[in-house]
Amino acid sequence: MDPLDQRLFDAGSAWRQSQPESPDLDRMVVALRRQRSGFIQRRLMYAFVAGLLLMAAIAVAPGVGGFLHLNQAPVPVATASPSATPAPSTPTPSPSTTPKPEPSAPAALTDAERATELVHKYEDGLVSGRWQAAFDLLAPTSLTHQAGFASFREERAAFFDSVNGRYTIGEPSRVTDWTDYAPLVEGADRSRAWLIQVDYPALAGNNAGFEQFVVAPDAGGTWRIWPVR
Amino acid sequence: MTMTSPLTLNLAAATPEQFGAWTAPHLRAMSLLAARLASDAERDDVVQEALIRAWTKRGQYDARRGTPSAWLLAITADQARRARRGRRPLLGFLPGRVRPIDDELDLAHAIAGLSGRQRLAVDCFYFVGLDVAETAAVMRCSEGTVKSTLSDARNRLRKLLEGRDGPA
Repeated sequence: MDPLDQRLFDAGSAWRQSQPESPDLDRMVVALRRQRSGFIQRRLMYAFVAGLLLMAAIAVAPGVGGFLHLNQAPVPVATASPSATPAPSTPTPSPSTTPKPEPSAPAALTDAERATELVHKYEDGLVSGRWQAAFDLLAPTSLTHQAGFASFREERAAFFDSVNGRYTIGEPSRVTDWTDYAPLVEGADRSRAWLIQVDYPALAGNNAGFEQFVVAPDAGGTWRIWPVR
Repeated sequence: MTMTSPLTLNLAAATPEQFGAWTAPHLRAMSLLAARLASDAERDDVVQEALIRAWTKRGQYDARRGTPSAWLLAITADQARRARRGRRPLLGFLPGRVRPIDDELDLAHAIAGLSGRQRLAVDCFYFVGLDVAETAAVMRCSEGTVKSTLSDARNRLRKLLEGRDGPA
């Protein structure tokens, strides 16, 4: 065996023996239980608030045209009647009455398409070694961005050495439970956020072989990426 | 009383106690990694945070993608990085419990002179005692990259040690 290899193994072994016992698992399980009850309490609180809002909406709706009424505004229906009915003063965004866009106007991207495109741009930057371009797409509030560019470049360069330039972007999905992601997505507009998974075929079968991103507008309305795994 | 084998446990539906039992065989490696990557003082906090994070993410664990050990160690490494950000002790593996003989001091100094990735590979493989696959999971890279990083690290260490005590 290489003497340096042996020396490192010996030093490692001595260090391990010098380490104290593992932390108390029972104490840690108590913390998990607390975590779970906190989660259930949060769920109950959300349900309670949602119930209150629903009751308030029902109470207001009948007399003064609360928001339930607005939501149920009659959809203008194209009729055969020749009478010139004045248009409603508040335009209703109904597909049947909205004029079709001009053929020359480019179709606006949906949020999901925009999110996917941004992740494509990010991954393209990484596989081609354009670290700064990729870094600039991250939300400044994301933990990865906050660790700094030098750390990002070093870590990503090593990782993408193993990726062999190949990645697969999955279908965007909505996040229904933010418990896992909340600490990682500060500043993201959650109502428009999409979760996108990227797989790296060269690392298939490895838990490091995929990453997940939350993509959403930030407080300024700019679409950004928050790495969450 | 019915016992659920950790091997057949449905993680998503597990109770905290079942989850604790599932993580128990890996707790020692998690503590060593936490001590190595953060500090002795932060070790327990890092492991605790890692377990909470693993607990909240347990639905995402995919056995086809790797072992529980690799998954838990990768989460521990993430938590340790957060804890230690910007304040890694220079001589992390000599906290006073190991006799500070010159040989060990030299090695510690030399390891401190490695790049971040090389040091991580050395920490995981030699000090925490992980195998190459587990080290790859912590470093989020392939096993081949771990081997080449370790080889580069040894070459660099040789040069650093030669400057101190002659050929390693």
